[in-house]
Amino acid sequence: MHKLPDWFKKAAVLLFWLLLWQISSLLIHNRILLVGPFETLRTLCGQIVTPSFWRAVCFSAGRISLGFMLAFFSGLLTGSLSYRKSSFGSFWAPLIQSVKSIPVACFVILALIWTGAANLSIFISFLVVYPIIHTNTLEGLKSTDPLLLEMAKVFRVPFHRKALCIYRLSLYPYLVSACKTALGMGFKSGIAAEVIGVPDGSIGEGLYRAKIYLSTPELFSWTLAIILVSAALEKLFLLLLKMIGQKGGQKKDGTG
Amino acid sequence: MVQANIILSHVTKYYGENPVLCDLNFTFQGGKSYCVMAPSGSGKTTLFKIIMGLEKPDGGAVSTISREGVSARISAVFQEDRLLPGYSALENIRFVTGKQFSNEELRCLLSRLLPEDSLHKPVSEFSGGMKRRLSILRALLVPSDILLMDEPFAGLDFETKQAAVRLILELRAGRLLLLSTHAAEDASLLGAEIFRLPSKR
Repeated sequence: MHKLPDWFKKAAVLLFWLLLWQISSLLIHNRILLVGPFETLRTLCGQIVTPSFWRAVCFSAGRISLGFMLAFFSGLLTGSLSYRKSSFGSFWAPLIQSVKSIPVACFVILALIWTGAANLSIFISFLVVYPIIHTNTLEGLKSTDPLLLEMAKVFRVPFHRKALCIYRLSLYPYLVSACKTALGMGFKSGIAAEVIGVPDGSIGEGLYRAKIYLSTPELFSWTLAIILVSAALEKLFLLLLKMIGQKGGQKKDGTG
Repeated sequence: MVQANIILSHVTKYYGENPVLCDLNFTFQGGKSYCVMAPSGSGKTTLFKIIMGLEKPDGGAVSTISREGVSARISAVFQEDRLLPGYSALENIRFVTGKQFSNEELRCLLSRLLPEDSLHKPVSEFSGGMKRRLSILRALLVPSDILLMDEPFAGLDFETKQAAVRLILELRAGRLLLLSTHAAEDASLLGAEIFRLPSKR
């Protein structure tokens, strides 16, 4: 029997869920409780032609991405330091554990007191992403093949070459998996924080307004926008990571 | 290159309760070749690791300081090949030598032990014998004062072993060579003295 192509299977699955969603909305027949995919898309199409929509997307996505990038580099730095100096790792571990366990809402309230609403999503996405990157950096470095490190030690290979050819390749899969999780979580928490803090001209403000006016179509269309922007940023960031992280961004005959 | 001796003074090593090396005293003289012979599990690899500074002896000391007081540089063929798996043969050599050789020089040397079309393939696609040959060449090409080779001919057929021996003789360049082996004929092939590890008891 002829095997169905992969894209066809994925499209069929997506179509099934969209149909189920549409049928449910038709059966419920209440625009406050549930709107269907067509109406969501229609509302989104109405929104994307307005400058305020793009301003809100740029405001929120820009701040969440900034928080993510800051967390990425900080996590990379402290994760590497914890690997290199176990005393630093022990000193830093309680802080990481606290950031992991304290509910985001507590940080949101604290950030509102400290910095106000405008930069809230930077702070919150940083706090959500940072421990994930830190932990995965540390685990990735710990997974480095000790036999290769011994070899490099015997041959007195300089640190920059070890970092490029040994550590980078052990770290890469851990960072990819961390970023896949962290980007989505950073976005979710950043937007949730905006809904609490309601900074002017943010996606969070749009969602808050949708709640106040019980505008479910707007709520769904903002949600769809968040999913699309988050997915696009994830793809972009993973592509950048692949370019620098995988073996391949090097000269043909050299190790860079 | 500096002429460095390896001086073993009362070297003792235990794994748990089991003695591996017991009060070992010997001087491997700079510029000479030695074949270290002993049955499997007698401590050859442990001795090499101690000389390389990868393990500490439980007793005694090892000195690889030259007469000029300089710490000798060591290059090694490990019991496991310890090559960077995702990298090509050329890149593996470059990893340890830096930019010391041109690509042309490296290609020329590598093609004496490896098929020409394999030089750009990742070593993870190499056979066991090819990996072994590459690790021999890597040790020979690194500027060093002492060459340690832990069973370098394991897994090589007669032809490739002969080619490897020729390359070792050519590229050894007066360095102190310590080679562990089970085959006494290796000593005559390399013109080396035989050093038998004393029995543990």
